Amino acid sequence: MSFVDIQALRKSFGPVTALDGIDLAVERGSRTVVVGPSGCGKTTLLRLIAGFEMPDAGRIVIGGDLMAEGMTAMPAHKRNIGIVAQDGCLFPHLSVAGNITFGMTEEQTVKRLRAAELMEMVGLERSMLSRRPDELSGGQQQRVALARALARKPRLMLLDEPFSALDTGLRAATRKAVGDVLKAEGIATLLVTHDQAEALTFADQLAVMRGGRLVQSGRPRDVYSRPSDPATASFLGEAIILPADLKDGHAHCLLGRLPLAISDAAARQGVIMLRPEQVTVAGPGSDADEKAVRGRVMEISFRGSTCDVRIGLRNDETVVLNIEIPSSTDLVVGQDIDLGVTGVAHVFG
Amino acid sequence: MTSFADSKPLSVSFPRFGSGTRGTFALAIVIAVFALLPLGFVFWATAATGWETASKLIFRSRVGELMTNTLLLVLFTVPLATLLATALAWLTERSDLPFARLWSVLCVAPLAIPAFVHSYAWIGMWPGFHGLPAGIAISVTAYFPFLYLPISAALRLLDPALEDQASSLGLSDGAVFRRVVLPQLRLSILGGGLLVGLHLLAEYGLYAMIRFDTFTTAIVDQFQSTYNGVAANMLALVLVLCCLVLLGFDAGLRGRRRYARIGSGVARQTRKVPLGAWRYPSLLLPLAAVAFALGIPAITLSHWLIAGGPGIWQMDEIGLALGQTLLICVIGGIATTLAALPIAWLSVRRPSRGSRIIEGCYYLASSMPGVVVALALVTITVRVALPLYQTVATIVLAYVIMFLPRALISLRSSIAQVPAELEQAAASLGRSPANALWSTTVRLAAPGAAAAVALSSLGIMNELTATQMLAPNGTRTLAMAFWALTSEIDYAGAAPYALLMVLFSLPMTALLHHQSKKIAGR
Repeated sequence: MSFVDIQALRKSFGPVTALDGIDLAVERGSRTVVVGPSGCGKTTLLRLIAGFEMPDAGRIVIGGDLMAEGMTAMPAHKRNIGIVAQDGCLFPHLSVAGNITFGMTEEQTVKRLRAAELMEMVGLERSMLSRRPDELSGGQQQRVALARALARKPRLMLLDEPFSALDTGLRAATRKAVGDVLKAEGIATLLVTHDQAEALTFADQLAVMRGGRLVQSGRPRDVYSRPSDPATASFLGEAIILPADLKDGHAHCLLGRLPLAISDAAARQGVIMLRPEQVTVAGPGSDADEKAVRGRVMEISFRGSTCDVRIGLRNDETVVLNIEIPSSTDLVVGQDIDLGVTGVAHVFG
Repeated sequence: MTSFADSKPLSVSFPRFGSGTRGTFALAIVIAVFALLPLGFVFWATAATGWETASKLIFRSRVGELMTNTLLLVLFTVPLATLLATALAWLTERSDLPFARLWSVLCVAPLAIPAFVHSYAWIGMWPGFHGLPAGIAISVTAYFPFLYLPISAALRLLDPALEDQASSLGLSDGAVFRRVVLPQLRLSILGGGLLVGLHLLAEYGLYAMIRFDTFTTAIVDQFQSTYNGVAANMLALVLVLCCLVLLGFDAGLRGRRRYARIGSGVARQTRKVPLGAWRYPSLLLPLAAVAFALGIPAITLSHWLIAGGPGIWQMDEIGLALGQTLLICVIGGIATTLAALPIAWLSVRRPSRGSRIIEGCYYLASSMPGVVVALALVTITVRVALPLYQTVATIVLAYVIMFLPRALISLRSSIAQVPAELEQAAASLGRSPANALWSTTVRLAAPGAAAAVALSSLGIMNELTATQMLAPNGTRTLAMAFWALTSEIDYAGAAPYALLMVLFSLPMTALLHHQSKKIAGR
């Protein structure tokens, strides 16, 4: 049995079904990210694991201990699960030290030593211990919240979009710091977020959630390149989705004859997906390959190191590809280009 | 509201408003000087009396007795009222108590009953109930809503995520309440407790009726029987010092910290705690509180109204008292609101150290008991401005001093809701500064001004002490008529006046209830 084992978990709020039968396993010491759009039920899932809400049905087992089964649940304060919320949720009436030692049961001197230790662990100055939460920046508040949750050596750490309130620059740094600390401590972590980039970066295991269900889970790279359906494909990043004839282990589509990862025995119609980074762009007539697919540059948006380029296919102007290329590439609007594809195409279902 | 105190001054942006701001500031200072007259008078009177006479009048057994009474009253009433109010607030706001909304309204309703009507009702029920126990019991029932209002409002606004967080850190429900919820109620409890404490020190009618001597009743007695100015002034000094101690105590405990929610976004809706088997037994607490605070007045009043029959409805006298009361309430309410306007505008639009100090002066002045204000104004008018003695002008000044903060709170929150940009937009469209102010902020803040008039009028209607000492000859307000009749033990005859006061106070109490939701945490 996995370290965290969730089976057939259900929860409704009145007429709204928040969780519609969730099965999820988290391995010891691993990082799992549940990603999904707002309102998909991911926060509810976290609150059920933390013990803030009771499930309608299903079971949650952590480290072999039954947390909840059906309508019976262990109260939150007995679970020893750490949680860091979106806004840090620091106690406004306590100092940083008061916050960090809040859940500790050791004696005063031990508490003080441990608080200083934890501050160091999350990369904050010890001198901040006497500060008030409102005197800290957003990133510092999140680190204090993490230190507070770590103070009790929790068996599982839940992170509820803890980085989304931070500025872009701070977000990546805080995320890395938090991830490193948790990895070093060997604490299994469950992060929920609606930010796909964050999810792909942070996860050992990625679980995509939609409409109260887990639609797919696996290694981030696998889920990204082999999503189970077009909606998941688009949610995790820009996707080129095209109808195709499948035969002889190849897909025949507007972008030509593309190899498939799996060789389908029977020829059939299907839908394939490519990621934009698989599309290569070459100047016109560089290789007078008759099979090359012709496109025309319709729009270029300069983004710094890269450009977003909209390309219309010459043989079917209604099909538009959005790809990202290095901005050093010399392209102008209206220019004709040759398109190539690297790697394999992914077939849905 | 805090955000305005913290936000940076806007004064640089509009040089055209410079002279207007200075004028408003000057006006606010003049009003502050008037407001501080009574306090200044008490200290001046002490200095003029000389140490020897003063110490003889202060350090005597009578003062010790009054001090003991007052101290015991405060030390028992405030904690008991806090306990009661906190329990009621938690039950009505955070538990699944049946009919919670109804109870929450009923817990505020006792404010519509003047304090001295509360003791009139208790005396009617238990004629032998006197002294300290009676004082404590009646005070708790009459004043607990002052604590209930801010505590329940604060409970409503608490971020439940903090409580979830605490339980994830291993705290049981009881520990969460003690270590997370209670500390966040601190400011509300302190604010409400201070208000109750000041009322205990200032109230006359409630304690006079049950023959419980406090400094206030002693000063009024002294003033009425012997007009022994010096002795009354020295008692007033001790009373003022008691108030200052209370204010200092509150300020010390309060500290400079505010517990704002740090996070962004909307707080999750608070969950109702299921009471389980206690759900129905828990009803006993609000039931008992309401029975004492509303039931007893209702029973006594109906008893006397029925027993008195049609004979007690002396329409000419009642009509006269009602007319005079409404007149003086309207004059006083408008005057108080006008007096609060300069500082209200300054504190929102031009917040500065100076505006905060002036505001503090008003709060300090209004913390002085009515009897001290009246005593000071009587003595000052008699000595320096005899033509003003017992005139409407003097009594209105007393009301302004006593009730200005009530008007200020309403005015300020409504001005704060009007964006300053509107004034600037009006100015950019060619309006003069005064005209811009009038056509935007004043128009839009009008409902707040109406509330300010209503709230100060409510205070004036139920004011007895200062009104009795300062009212022009021949004045007979509802409160005065009620008091005169009960003093003659004509409880039945007093009942219609009490009923009228309650009826007129009800809508304004509803307003207060509504307003408390907006200014929670202050």
